[in-house]
Amino acid sequence: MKAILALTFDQLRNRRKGGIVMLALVATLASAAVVAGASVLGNSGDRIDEVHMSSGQPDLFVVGSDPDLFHRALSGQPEVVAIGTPSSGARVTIATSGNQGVSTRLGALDDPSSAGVGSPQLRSGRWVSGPDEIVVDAAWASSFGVSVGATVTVELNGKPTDMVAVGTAVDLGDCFYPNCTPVPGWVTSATLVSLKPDNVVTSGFATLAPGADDEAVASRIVNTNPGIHVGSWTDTRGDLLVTSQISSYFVSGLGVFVMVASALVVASTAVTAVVSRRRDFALLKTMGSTPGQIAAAILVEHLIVAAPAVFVGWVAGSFIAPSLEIGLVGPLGRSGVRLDPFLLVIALTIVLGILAMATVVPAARAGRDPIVEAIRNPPSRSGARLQRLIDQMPGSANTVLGTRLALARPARVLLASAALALAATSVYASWNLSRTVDQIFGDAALAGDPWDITIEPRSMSEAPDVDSVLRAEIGVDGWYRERQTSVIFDDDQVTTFVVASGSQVPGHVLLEGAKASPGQATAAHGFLEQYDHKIGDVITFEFADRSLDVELAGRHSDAEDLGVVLMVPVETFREAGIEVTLPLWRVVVADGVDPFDVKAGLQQRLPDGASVMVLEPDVAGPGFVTAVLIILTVIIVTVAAGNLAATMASTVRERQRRTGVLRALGLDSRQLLAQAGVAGAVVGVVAAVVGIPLGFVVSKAMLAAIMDLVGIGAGVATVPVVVPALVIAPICVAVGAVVGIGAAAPSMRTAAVELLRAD
Amino acid sequence: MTTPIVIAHDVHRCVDTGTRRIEILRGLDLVIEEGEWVAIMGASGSGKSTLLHLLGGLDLPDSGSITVAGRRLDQASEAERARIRRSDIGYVFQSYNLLTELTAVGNVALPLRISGVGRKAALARARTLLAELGLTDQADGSVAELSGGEQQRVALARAVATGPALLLADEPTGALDTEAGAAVMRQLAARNDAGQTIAMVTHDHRVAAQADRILVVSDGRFVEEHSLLETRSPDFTNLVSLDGV
Ligand SMILES: Nc1ncnc2c1ncn2[C@@H]1O[C@H](COP(=O)(O)OP(=O)(O)OP(=O)(O)O)[C@@H](O)[C@H]1O
Ligand SMILES: [Mg+2]
Repeated sequence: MKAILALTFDQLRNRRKGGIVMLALVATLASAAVVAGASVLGNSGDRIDEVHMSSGQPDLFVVGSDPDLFHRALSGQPEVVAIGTPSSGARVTIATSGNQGVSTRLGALDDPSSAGVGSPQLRSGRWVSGPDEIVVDAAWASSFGVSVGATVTVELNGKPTDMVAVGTAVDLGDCFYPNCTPVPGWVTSATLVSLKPDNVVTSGFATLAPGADDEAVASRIVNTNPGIHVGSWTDTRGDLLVTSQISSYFVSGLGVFVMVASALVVASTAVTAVVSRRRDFALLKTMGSTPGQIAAAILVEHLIVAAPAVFVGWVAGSFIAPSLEIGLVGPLGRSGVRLDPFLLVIALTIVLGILAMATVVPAARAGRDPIVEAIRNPPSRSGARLQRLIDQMPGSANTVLGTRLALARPARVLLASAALALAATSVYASWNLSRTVDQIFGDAALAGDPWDITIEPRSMSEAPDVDSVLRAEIGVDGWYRERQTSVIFDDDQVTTFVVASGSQVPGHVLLEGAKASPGQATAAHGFLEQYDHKIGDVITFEFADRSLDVELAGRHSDAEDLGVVLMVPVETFREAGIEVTLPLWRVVVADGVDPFDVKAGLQQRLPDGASVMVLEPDVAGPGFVTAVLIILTVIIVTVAAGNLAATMASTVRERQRRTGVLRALGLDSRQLLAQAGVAGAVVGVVAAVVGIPLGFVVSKAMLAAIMDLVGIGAGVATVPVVVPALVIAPICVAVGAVVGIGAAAPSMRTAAVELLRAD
Repeated sequence: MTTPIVIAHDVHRCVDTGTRRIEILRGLDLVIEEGEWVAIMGASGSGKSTLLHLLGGLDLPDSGSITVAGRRLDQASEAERARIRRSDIGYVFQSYNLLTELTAVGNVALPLRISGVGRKAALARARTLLAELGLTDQADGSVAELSGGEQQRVALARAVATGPALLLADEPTGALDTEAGAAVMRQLAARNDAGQTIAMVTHDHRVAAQADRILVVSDGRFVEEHSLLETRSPDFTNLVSLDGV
C-alpha cells in the first residue's frame, strides 16, 4: 500500500495539470447534477409541507354560498378536528396597470391571526387595516412584478376600484398562480361591503384527524351538500408540486445525460492519461513495480483527484437546487441552501463508482502492457488497421492525414465522440422539447380552454339576451355554454365540465375516439391513466344523488387537474332526468381580433352585472423548462467540448514529434491546422451520426413523459426531425473542427526543432 | 561557375535556458557548392545539430544570413520556409523519425503527397525509390517492424523523394552498427554520385572520410577544414583527436 501511495503521488506530481483539472471538472459537474436533481423534489415537498404546517395543516378548503351551508357541511364529518374561521368573499378580477385582470376570490379578513386553520401567510408588507387596502397573492404579485405599495385595480361587475397593495400573502386553498386560478386576495370586511358584491360566498379551511383520507371526506361532503366546493390538500399539494416535479424530472433526466457524458469523459481521460504515460509505466516496471501496483496507483490517483471534486459538486448542486424549485420561488422566495450529507454519500458512490469503472480497464491494461512494446510505443493494432484503410481513401493529403490523426487512437476518439454525441443529443432533445412544450403551453385549446372570453350573467333568465348580444357582435366567431362542477367517481371528486353539445364552436381538441353524444362523455388523459380506463369503457359516477352509466366516447386534451377531468354533454344528464344549467358562455373571438376590444363591446350591450372575463394567457408557459434545458445543455456541451479539447490536445501532444517531422517534411502551420481541423471534424461527424438519432429517441420519450405528467397524453406533440438535424449536424462538425484546431494551435507556435526534440 | 547551394554568412545562434545563455554559433560562415558532399564534425554540444536545423529552415539564426538554393531562409516567413523545406530540402535524422502508423511506402510517398502529387503517382515513385534502396520486400510492412538500418534507408528514401536540392543528414549512421551504417553510406554515396548535394553531421571519421570536405565546428565556428585530399594526409590523425575535445 505504501508503495502504491508513493507511486500515486509521484504520478500526480508528474502528471499534466490539464488532465487533472479536466478530471476534477467532470467529477464536479456530475456530482452537482446528481445532487441538484435529487434535491429539487425533496426540497420543494418539504417547503410546501412547512407552509402547510405553519398555517395549521388545512386539509380541506370549503366554499359554500353562505356560513350556514359551510358549517352544516363540515359539522357532520367525524374526521374533522378543527375548523378555521370562515370568511366571506366575492369573485372579482384584479389587475396592475397595463396588464390583464386575473380572476380573484377576494376575502374579507380583518385579523389573520384570528383565522385559525388555513390562515394566510404574510410574505411581505403588512395586513390590511384601512379602506381601499388589499393584500394580494404573493404568486400573482411575483408573476406581475407587483410590490408592496403598488396600486392595483379591483374590478367587480364591470366597475373598477383602485386599491393599494399593502402586503403579499399565500394561502393553501389552491395551487399557486399561474397554475391555478382564481388567486386569493384579502381586504377588510368594510372594504368588501363597500364594493357591493351581488354574490357573497363563505370559504374556510378545516383540519382532519391524522391518517384521514382527505379526498374521500371531500367527496362525501360534496356528494351530500349540493352547491358546495371542497378542495383537498392531497390534490392541492400534487398541483403545487407539479412544476417542481417537471423541473426535477428534467434535471434528473438530463442529469443522467450528464452522468453518462461524464462517464465517457472520465473513461477517455483515463485512457488518455494511461496511454500518454505508457512509457513511464514501462520504465517503472523495469525498475521493479508490479502490474498490480501500477493499476492500483492509477485508480487511487483518480479517486484522490475526484473525491474533493465530488464534494465541491455537492456544495454547488445544493446551491443550484433552490433555483430549480421553479413553481415555488415566486410565491415563497428562494429556499435556503441545504447541505444534505446523504446526498453527498449518494454522489460519492455514483461518481466514484463510474470513475472506478472507467479507470479500471485502462489501468489494468497499463499494468499488463508488455514492457518492450510499451517502450517502443507503437500504435495500437486496431489503430494500425484503420490507418491502412484510411490510406486507401481518396482526397487531399491533409484530409487523409487529418482523418488519420483523428483515428490514431480509435478507442479514445470513440469515447470523445460519444461524449460529444451525448451533447448533440441533449441539444437536439432540448430544441425539440422547448419548441413542442412552447406549442402546447401556448395553445389554450390543448390546455382545455378553447375560448377567449367567458361571460357569466347575473341570472339565468338573462340567457336569451346574452345569446342575442353575441349574435350581433361581429368580433365573435362562436360560443358554447358550460358549467364547471364535479362528479363522484371511485370515491373521488372529479372535475367535470358539462357542455352544451352541438355547439358551433370547434372547441376542445379531440385526441382519440369521437365527440360525446348523449349518454356519453369524454375524458382527458389523466383520468384514463389514474383510473385505468380506455375509450369505449362504460363508467359509473354519482351526481346529485344519482348514479349515471356513461360511455367514454373519446379522449380530449385538457391539462386542468393534471387531466383528471371529464367532459359531459348536458344531454347525458338530461337523459338521466337531471337538469343542469349552464351559466358560463365560452366565447371564441375571430382571428386577429383583440379579445379586450370584444370585451369592451360586450360589456356595453350585455345586461347589467354580467361578468365578462378574458382568458389569461398562461404565463407559466415553458419558460422554466427552457431555462433548465439551456443550463443543462450548456453544461453537457461544455463537458463534451472540454473533453474533446483535452483528448485532442493529448493526441497532439503525444504526436509532437510527428508534428515536428511533418514540418521538417515541409508542411506549413496552415496545413497542420487544417489536419487538426479535419481530425476534429471527423469526431464531430461521428458524434452527429450517433447523437442526432439518439436525440430523436430521447426527445420522444421525454415528451411522452411530460405529456403524461401534465395529463394531456399522446397525440399532440410530434418531434421535428429534419430542421434540427440540419442545424445541429453542421454545428457538431464545426465544434469538432474548432476544438481540433484549438488543440493543435499551441504546437504551431513551438519551433519545429523543439517539437523534434520532444518525445 | 554555378551558384552555391548553401551560403551561410556570420551566423549567430544563442539559446536561453532560463538559468544560462549559451552562444552555440558565433559568426559561422559556410559555402556548399552544388553536388558537393560535406561532412560536419565537432565535439558533442558544439552546435552541429543546431547548424543543420538552421540549414533545414527548422530554426532561425539570431543574426547572419542563410541562403539555400537561392532563397534567404533567415528572411522567409514560416510558411515560406515550409515551402522551401517541401521542395528544396530533404532531412535524415539520427533516430529515423518515421511515422510508425504508416507503411514504408506510405512514409516515402508522404512528402510527395504533401507537395500535391496524386496518390497513385506518389506511391509508384515511392516504390521505385524503395526498390533502389533494396527495400522492395519491406515496402508494404509497418515501419515499426523494420530494423534500424532498414528504417534509416526508408528515411533516406523519404528525404530524397521530392528531389531536393540539399540533403541534410544528422548522424545518419549514429544509431546503426557498422554493417547497417555502411549500407546507408553506400546509398548516400550513390545519391552524391548522381549529383545530390549533401551536408552530413557525423562523429565517425571513417564516415566523414567519404565526404568531399570535412568541416570541424568549435567555439561556434568552423575551425578546420579538410579537403578530400587532406583527409587522407597524415594531418588526419590530429582531426581524430578533436573528437575528444
Ligand atoms: N533549445 C535548446 N535549449 C537549451 N539548450 C540548447 C537548445 N538547443 C541546443 N542547446 C544547447 O546547444 C548546444 C549545441 O547543441 P547541438 O544539439 O547543436 O550540439 P551537437 O553538436 O549536435 O551535439 P551532439 O554531437 O551531442 O549531437 C548544446 O550545449 C545544447 O545543450
Ligand atoms: Mg547533434
